Amino acid sequence: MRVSLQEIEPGMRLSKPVLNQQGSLLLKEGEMITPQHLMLFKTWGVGQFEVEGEEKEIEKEIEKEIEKEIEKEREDETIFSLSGGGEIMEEIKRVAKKLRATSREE
Amino acid sequence: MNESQLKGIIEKTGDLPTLPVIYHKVKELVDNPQTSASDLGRVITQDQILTTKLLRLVNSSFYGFPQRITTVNRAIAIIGFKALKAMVLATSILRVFSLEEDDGFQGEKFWQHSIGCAVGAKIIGKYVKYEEPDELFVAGLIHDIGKVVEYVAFGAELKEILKITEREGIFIREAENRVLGADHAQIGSLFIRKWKLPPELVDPVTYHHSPQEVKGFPKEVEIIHLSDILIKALGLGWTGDYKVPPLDLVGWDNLGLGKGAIEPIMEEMEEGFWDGISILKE
Repeated sequence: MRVSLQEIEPGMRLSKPVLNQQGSLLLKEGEMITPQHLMLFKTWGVGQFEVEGEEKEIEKEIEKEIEKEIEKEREDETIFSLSGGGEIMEEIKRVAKKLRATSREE
Repeated sequence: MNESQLKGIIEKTGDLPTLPVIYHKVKELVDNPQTSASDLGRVITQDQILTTKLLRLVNSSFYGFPQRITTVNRAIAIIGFKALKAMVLATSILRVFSLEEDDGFQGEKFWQHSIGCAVGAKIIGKYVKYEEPDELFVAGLIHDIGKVVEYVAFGAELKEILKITEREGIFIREAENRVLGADHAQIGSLFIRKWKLPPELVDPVTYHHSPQEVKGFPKEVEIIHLSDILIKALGLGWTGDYKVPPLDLVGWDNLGLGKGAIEPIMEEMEEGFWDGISILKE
């Protein structure tokens, strides 16, 4: 699958060689990416890579990221409108707080 | 909103998509007393997405059957014609308006809020013994359709609206009134008239922020108003608002629910939210 410089990570394995803009070989097919390689790619301005693995794995990771993000946002206290609702609104606030706390623990 | 603004909005919504043929087919069949489950089954199975969603729904916790239901005809027999019509309508709306993430408008999470409100409306409907809980589901799903119209037809204005809402800490509908001269409830109400839905589905769109003004179907409006507040309080989905709006207490009293009902309703909503999303996702 194709990944960008932002997406490529140490541990991924190249399925095609990486060339610089002049066409010279930087890294062979089958090589495992290391943090040093990332520096090298940045220096040479290489933006796209073919690595082993299916697109689906990336999608799963993105899904995980989104879930994490949702969790994080829910940790922020929701701001309730100051006026109206009386004791029912107080009850809604209490239950919301409780449920948010439990879903964080899970 | 003055007349020329109103006209402008109607003209712009004229280009917006209408409901797909399959919905009209299913509606026609459901409205006909001669129709059998296998008549409907034939129409549904022509549509792979609908078939998948129907089977997901009937095998979900909403129905809670111990054994797996694998045929469309059996699924239709279990959920009933009216629920099927509601599901086809819900799926059609989500399909017609699949939204992209765009500068501040969080399309996917917008639908999550709507699905959450739909699930909540159905749950509240159960607590108040409402006769057609699946209609409530659809009403919840479309209650904010005016924001979709803004997204499609008033992109630049919507960006401004979202900025103002964030900057000034006001409700999105206040910013909409300032920029467009109308809020999403009014715009949505104008827009869905051309879908020719029954008034019990249109009223909640029009009055979910002003339940004290409704004349026709106050119960439906109050249920959507409450569900909208509860799903916002749970922090699920995205609406553009940063605050939970106040509850209309007159409407609350009319529902006849005790304070003690809040907790079980919200617990069921949180659980149902994730089920609703996994049933309706593509």
